[in-house]
Amino acid sequence: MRMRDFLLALGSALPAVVASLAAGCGPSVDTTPGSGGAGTGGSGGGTLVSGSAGPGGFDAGLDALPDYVDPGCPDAGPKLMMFMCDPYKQGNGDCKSGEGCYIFVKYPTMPCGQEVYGATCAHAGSGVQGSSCTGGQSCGAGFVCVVSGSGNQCVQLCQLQGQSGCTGGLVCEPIDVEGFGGCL
Amino acid sequence: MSGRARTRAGLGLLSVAGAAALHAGCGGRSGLDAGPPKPPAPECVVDADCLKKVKGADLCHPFICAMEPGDAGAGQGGSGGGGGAGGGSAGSAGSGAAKLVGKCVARPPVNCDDNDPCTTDTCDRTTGLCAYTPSTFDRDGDGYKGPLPGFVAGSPGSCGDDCDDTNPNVHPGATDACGVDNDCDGLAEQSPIYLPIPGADERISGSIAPADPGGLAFSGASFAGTYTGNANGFNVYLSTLGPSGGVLNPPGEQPVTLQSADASGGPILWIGDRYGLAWQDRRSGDYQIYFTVLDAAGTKKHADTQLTFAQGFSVNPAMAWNGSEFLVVWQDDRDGTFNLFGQRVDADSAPIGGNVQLTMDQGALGNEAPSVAVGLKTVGVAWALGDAMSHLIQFQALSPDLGTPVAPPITVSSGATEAVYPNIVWNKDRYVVAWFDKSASPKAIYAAAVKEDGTLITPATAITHPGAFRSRYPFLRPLGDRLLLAFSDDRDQNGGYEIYTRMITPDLAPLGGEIRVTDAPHDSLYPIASTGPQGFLGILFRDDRDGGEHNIYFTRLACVPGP
Repeated sequence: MRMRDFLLALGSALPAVVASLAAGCGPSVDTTPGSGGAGTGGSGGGTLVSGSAGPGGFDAGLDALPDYVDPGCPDAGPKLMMFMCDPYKQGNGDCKSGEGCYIFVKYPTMPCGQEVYGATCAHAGSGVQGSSCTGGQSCGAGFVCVVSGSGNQCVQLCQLQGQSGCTGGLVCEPIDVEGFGGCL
Repeated sequence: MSGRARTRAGLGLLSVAGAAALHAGCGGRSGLDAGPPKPPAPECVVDADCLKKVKGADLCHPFICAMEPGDAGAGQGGSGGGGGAGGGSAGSAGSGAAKLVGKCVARPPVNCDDNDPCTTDTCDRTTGLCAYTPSTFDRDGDGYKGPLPGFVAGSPGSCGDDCDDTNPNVHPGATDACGVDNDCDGLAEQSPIYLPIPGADERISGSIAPADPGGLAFSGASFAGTYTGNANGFNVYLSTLGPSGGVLNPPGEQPVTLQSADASGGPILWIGDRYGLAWQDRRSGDYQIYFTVLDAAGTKKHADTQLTFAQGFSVNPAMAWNGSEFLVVWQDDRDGTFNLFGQRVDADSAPIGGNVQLTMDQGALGNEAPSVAVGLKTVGVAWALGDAMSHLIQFQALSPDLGTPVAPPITVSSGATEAVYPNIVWNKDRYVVAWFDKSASPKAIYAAAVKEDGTLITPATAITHPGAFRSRYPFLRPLGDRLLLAFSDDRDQNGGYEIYTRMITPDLAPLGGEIRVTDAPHDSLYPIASTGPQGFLGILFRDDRDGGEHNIYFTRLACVPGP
């Protein structure tokens, strides 16, 4: 299985207007210690069509499990996009001198909440391909700080389709900001 | 046990009565000043009262309501041995025997052990009755039970003789297929060779690019391929494929994770009657690890079970099945730096115990990218330790419940290079770990073999030969007397990486050459292999041949008996 690459937060550069917009629905089983749900399963808001969960743990057979219908997130709105500059065109005048255009993502704070993707101008760091980083601004313009499974590192932004722009045997891999990849 | 408890309770009462008498006899406040203390309320009247009042009491851990002398109290305890005459309350001193009150006294717990290792012995707390259920199971429905964890199928005390209880085609008396020991006699058809089937490549993902493989498993009737894709947000998708390939439609491609939650991952395992699936998503704000089970058709059968709740990144789950439990291992920075954590999960998605921390802080270095395999008596975990600049591949053998290290972790890679993304399997009598190295010379796939006790058998060895170019993304398939390696390599400079395979011995020596599987422009990456019927091998991978778009492809390798 491929290790996923995750964007590390941009920190204080995140626009203040990005606020969480949440819509509630939560189909997971809560197994928080003390909640009473540990080890029981099946109580998380989904629909068990044909009764309770099977006992398992023995010769359950191929049809011993009840059907489950995932409720999904019917109330979730479309993703919010807030691009105030073009991350693929650093130095095009969108940002001031000494700044870079950095992608960001704002995670939802509630189940089924909306994510917010975007790009904003921020002071440019010095990290290049493979440099250690602690957040987006550790990296130079055109790079992004990711949790890569091989250290939190700056990687060059790349195109997910066509010619990626990655060199030296690196591969353009999607990161969790929709539409963007990083060379790894 | 109950007699001892009763004795202790009796002594306690005596001392209380004595203290009361002495206190009164020394001229303290008389009972008259304070009024007579009320006798203590009985703890119980009948045994059933103890079930309600004593924490932990049930019919398997019974208590009885025993009548014992109560607190004599001032003036009440004529038999307390302390001179009731001087301190007694008016009119009551030395008036007779102590009042009896009910006390809950523990009885020995019900012992349900029948000394039969092939049964699991339990006591029903509501009835106190013993129940004896089989401790080994026939999950794949072929009529043969798998062995107890830590036993070879069919060995004395194993309680089962099915050497693969996840596959109904494998059991004593079955017919061997190419490269597969179906009859559990320990002998697979020797020297299998896997060859690409021309024209077998097929795209299985729909319009959900960019997509990445998550897992591949074979149920005995069909394959289930899982992969991450994007359609208004990332989801894990599942497609089932027929034994000879071809997406089964219906149901076709279907998302198996919550919409709008940025889900990704998807290691999937077939355990004989259901699939287990793990992934990460951030429905709750942070990335957390989730788990569920699906039937053979890929239909989800339980609500998602959230396995982690800590702040920060809980990501990159790996998974194994030990015959009775799923073992999910992931990287987690809940304490500031990445460490590995694990969680046992039963076949119905219920967590067993809590998250177990598997690695210790190493300063600023992170423990990342875990892979897990189940051995005979241990669980082997391989991972990368390092930072952005260099990584070491680590191995550690753990107890089957993940809770206890069998031996300290060892480094199986050599030198301070960029050794990353290990893959570990158990092959007959040893663990084999493979990884790729982005900075060593050559930039090849490397592997090491380790005993179950953590002793290195074969040190880091290059098992591919990319020349001046690179091999990446190893995936091992254990075959007993050999292993199959699938990997990506850009040696042919065909506009990117292609999928290759090669066979190696358990001692990591090459068997035959490296065989190119794909031949298309752009990259072919991240192969995941699973054995299908008649021994052929299915491979799930990412392929960018469609104009550079990241899609999921499936291909098959034919198994041919060797010379």
